[in-house]
Amino acid sequence: MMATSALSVIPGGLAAIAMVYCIVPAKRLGWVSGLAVTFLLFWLAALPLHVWTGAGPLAVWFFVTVAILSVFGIWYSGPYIRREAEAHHWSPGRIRGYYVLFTLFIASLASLAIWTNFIFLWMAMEAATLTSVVLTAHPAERGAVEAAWKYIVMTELGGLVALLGTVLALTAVGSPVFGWGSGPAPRMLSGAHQHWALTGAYLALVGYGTKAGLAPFHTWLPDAHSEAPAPVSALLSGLKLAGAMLIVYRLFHVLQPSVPAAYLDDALIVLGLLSLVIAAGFLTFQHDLKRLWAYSSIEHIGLISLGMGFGGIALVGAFLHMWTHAASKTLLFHNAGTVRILYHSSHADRGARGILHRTPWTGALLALGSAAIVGLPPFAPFWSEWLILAGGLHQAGDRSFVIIAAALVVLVFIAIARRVPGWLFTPGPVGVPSVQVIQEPVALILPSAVLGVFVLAGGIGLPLAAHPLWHHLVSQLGVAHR
Amino acid sequence: MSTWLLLATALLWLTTVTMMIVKTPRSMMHLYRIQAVAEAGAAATLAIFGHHPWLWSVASLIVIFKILIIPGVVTRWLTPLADVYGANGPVGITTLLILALVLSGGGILLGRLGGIPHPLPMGLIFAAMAVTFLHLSGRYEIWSLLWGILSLETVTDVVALTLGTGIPAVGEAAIALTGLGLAVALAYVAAEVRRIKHSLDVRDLEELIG
Repeated sequence: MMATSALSVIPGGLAAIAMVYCIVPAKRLGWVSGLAVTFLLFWLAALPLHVWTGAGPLAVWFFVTVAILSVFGIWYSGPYIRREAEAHHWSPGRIRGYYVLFTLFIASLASLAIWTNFIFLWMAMEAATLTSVVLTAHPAERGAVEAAWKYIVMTELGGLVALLGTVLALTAVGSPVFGWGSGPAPRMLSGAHQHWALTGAYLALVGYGTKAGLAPFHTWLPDAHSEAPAPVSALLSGLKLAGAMLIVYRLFHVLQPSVPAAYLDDALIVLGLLSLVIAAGFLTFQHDLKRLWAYSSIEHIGLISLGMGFGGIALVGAFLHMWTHAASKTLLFHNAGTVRILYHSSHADRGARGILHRTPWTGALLALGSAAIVGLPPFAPFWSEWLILAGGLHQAGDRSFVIIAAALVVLVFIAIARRVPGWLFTPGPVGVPSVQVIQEPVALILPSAVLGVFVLAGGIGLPLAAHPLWHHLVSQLGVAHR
Repeated sequence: MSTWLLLATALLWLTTVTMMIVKTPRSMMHLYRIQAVAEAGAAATLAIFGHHPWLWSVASLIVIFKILIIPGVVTRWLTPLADVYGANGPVGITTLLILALVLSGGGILLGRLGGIPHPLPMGLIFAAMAVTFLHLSGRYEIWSLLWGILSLETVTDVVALTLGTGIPAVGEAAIALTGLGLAVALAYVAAEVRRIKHSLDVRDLEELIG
């Protein structure tokens, strides 16, 4: 099948499945989820069989990330939403609404991966934002609704600025605003056209940076991530934020022959560093597990921005980091959702303590995910962070940026390493015997456990599976060093 | 073409400034419709004089979505707010108006910098955009912010129409459809805020800490 057919079939198919949720009886919702998982796995399996090709390696890479993690999201949603619905007395309509919106959210994320036209990419990003806003408000509690309001106001302003910037920049460079897989504009601009192209590029960076949660446009992110249902937080953090950065990369790639590349790269580096500063500062004070991982998302989007700004091998690291961060963060947000259900809070001061002792599986998965996300070897985020920083050292004109970034990554490591033991080892609240063990439902643990194995195996297997790539990268680093 | 486009963008700027200072959501709905007329007028002008006949379909979509559907959807979700009077602001209305005039002057100058087609109409559109940003930072009621974002969406659509002449009908339709989705989502969340808080004022939204 041609790539262009898949462009409409994949999002259209997922949207159709979302509509099926509306018509089946409430007790058959699981079957529709099974259909959605089968659909995603089919398109994944079709890639190596060359049934469809995708619009380039980057599109395929991000689609694989979206499809695999969405399968885990749908799987985890089953047991999670059943328990949330029981605890908060959700009506059947509200449960159905969750699944419809969640599937549409996944459809928009898949579109972000496979589409290359800038207007349609903007539309896919808007669809991802609007569906996730309503999903954030879905619990219908005060915190969730307030977070959804901040989320929609901030990110829609960003979205409109992004559209303005995209149209301005592409009009100035004379690139086709509406052509599938728009190639780079052919010439270096001068005078007024270059000013408009740069203004447009910066506006697009601010707009999509707001969608990505880059500092200082991140203020909506901690609230939205901590209040949304756990499977939504996972896809928001792992996929939607990275999707916004992917659009920025595609746009800058089109603009770079026409405007000085350093202007664009420096902006990415500055926002990336600022995001690391904000994350390092705020992670130290978090007592809520979901909020901790929300600030960690700001750090990782900052790292991806840095990798894109440094370019060269750091760029490879940035794309690899989209996967490694998304997989680890999906595990951690699902885990935080399990903590919230089992302990009725994910707040360390409100009972979510002694997790490793009271719920060994949940505690072990929290320990594993935390070790992965801080970039400890042999987990995959270590390799991608190493590529970003090592690539930056060889690529960047001013190495002080890389040294500051490395120092901030160490600070983030210390902050998380100080906070996580508070959930894992600190004895439970006063009056509750520390030996009290909570029953862990298998249905809730299994999706996270499988993902945990995936995260562990991915980290160990990555250098082995991608040995030729590794060899190439190391030789490139050597050449750059000489 | 310039005269008609200038008229359409001047109407857009005028309604944008008026939306910033109106006191009840009932007036907002009518002003939004007038703004949509300005947008449809810009599309029709470009269709006739710019030789882009497909823009007629875009103008039709704007009329259907922004004049017929969106005001109805938003007011249906926010019926309890229809007669709520909101004269207070964090700064006085006179201050807002003076700032709006200064920003408008800046916007018109920006259009004159050169390098973009239709300098004066584009300057007015930039001015309208700056005024909308002022609106969003100068007002605090749910309904005012909601209509402010929809107003900004209309102004951005006009930029896309005027500058992005390479965008075909399907792209413009996609942008219009996204505007409809935005209105529905905004109205839903605004109604939820109203239900939870029993108030129009969003200045006291708690900073979620943890």
